[in-house]
Amino acid sequence: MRIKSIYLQNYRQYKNVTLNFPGNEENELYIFIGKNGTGKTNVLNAINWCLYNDEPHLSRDSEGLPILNNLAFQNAEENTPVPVKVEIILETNEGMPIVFSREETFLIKTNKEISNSKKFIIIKKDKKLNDIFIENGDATKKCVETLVPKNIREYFFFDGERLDNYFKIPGDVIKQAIMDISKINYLFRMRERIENVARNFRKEAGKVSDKINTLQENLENETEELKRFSYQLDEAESQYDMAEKEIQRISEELVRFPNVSDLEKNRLRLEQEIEKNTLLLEEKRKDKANLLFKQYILVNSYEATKNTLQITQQMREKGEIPPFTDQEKLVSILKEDFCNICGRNLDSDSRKWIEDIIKKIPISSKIAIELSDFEKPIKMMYDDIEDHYESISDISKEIGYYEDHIKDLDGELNQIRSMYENYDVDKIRNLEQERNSYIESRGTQKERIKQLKELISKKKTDINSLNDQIEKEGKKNARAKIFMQKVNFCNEAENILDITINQRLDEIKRKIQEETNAIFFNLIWKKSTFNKITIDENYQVKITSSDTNLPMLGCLSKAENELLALSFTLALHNVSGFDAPLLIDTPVARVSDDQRVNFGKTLAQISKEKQIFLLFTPAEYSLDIKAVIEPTLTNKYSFEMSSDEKQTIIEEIK
Amino acid sequence: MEKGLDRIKKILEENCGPNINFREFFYEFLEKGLYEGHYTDELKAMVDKYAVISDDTNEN
Repeated sequence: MRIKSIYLQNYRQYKNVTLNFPGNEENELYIFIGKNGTGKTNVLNAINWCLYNDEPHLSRDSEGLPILNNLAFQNAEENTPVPVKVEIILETNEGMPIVFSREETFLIKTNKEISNSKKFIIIKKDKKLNDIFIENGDATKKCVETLVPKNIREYFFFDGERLDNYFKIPGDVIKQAIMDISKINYLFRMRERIENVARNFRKEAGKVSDKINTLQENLENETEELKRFSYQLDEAESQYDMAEKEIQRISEELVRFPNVSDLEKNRLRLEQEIEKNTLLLEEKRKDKANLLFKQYILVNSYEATKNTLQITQQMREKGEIPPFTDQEKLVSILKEDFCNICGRNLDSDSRKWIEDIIKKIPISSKIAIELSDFEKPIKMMYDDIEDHYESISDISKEIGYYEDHIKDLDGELNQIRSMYENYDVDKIRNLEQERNSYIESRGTQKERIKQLKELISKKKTDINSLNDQIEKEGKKNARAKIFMQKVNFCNEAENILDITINQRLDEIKRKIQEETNAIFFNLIWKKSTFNKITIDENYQVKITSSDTNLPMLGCLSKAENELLALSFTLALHNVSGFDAPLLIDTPVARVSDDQRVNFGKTLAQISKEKQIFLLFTPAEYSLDIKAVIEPTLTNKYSFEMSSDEKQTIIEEIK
Repeated sequence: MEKGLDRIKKILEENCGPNINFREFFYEFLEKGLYEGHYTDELKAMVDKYAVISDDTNEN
């Protein structure tokens, strides 16, 4: 499918413009170049307005402006209808044109435009452009949904600046669109029709057998219950899917931030530990002070005690203490000239001998005895002081330990504080709370899914049993037997449809994954950074790192993200049979300079398989981009405001 | 590989196995576009036709 032409009448900047896209056998690449404000993006809005009656890409400047062209408004006569019209001609792969035409007329009254009438028609034409079928009313919506489903318009009308939202489209929306595009929904409808017919046949059989009638009623009830459980299961799976997606989104956002919960816990632990250690430190300091105070005197006499003990020990070593004789006694014997020990008077030799002995005694015997008597208590005192010093030293060591530990803890705490300074902690905390609530919701839904699957399984067994019973009853009754043959045929047909639906869904998912990988790894310029892309049952896209094998969707550069989105889109188009053009506004707006050329090459390559429209500003359409795109270009259009700035003039650049 | 309805027809055909009646039933179903609208009577008539043939075939 390709866009053959777009006609714009009185739509915003466009007074009367037709854009023709002639096509090309080798490729189809069209470029719109215009400065900001010239209305390139409004072509994208015009397409959306025509197909879906909304304008999702309006700029802030355009939002307040009427859809009716300013010049048309000024030239309009009072009460004369002025049309705003957008007409898109699509061409199917079989070459059949389909015209989508939306028109809204306005009446100008007292300088205001008032909507007067609205019309949307779809005209299917033959190759000679004769009208063969005209859809209007509700049928147009269905026709648009079949050809270009609104839910997945992001997959064919890209906005390069809004790609952040690309992978946030819910999986069930993608799945539903795939079922529409790949026509799997036809199988669901077929199944539903056959089920209705089977019900009719069972009722017919029930008319000829009461037993079958009763079983049939039970079967109806059980089938209704099964539908109810299946609906609840869809709901639960959708909730689970949503929770999963939100958890992934928040986790990817949180990767850039520190884990605040852990940091908070750590901070609290550190604060408590510092408080506890500070108390212990204070206690130790107090113990030391008490010890010093109590032993003050002892400590002050340490040097004297130490010296006395040293002297006493030296005297003992010399044999001066204890005294070997009493000096005072010898002096008294000399004075009295009589020895009262042996009871005789002293001769000259004896006197000399005693005098020599006295000379040999350095201190008085009294002092020597006293010193000898003091030695023990002084020694005890000295030991006490030594012990005291040991205690003081131990306490000082402990104080040192606590001081160092508190310093380390303070260091860790300061690190955490400095981390906090760089981030919006409240935002992180909210994100963590949000993630926790989604994790809880996911758990609840998982449990619910398990329960519902069990209920559904049981219900199916009951239904099979009832079907068997009806079949048995049918065989007993010749008239019922004919209806039951038809019921069995329907059951078997439903079975074949179920298998086909599951096979096709699995096949599409597998193929989309394979093709996304093939396209992405063919086009990506950093071949070894990524491991593989996986797409789960709910069409959640995940890309893993080669090094860690961890998901890294949130860590991709803008260009890589855009390339992944493009790869997935192309795979989706190829596999599901959805062959729509791609229109990309500002395709390289968020792509860094070094990757623009790669991206340009990629788009040029894709245009060989698909009609592509690229909307650039002159600055974006740089020389390097131009060099890779121009060789494959089909047509180039310039967008410029008229001199009075009331309309956009589009010219084909040769 | 076929896409859209063509692929579905192919898988349906494979899943019908050797039973030609189912194959023709689905083929006619799709050809007539009975998945659109309701068409219960027309579908009933088709089941009448193929279920009986199918049964006859089985009995034979």
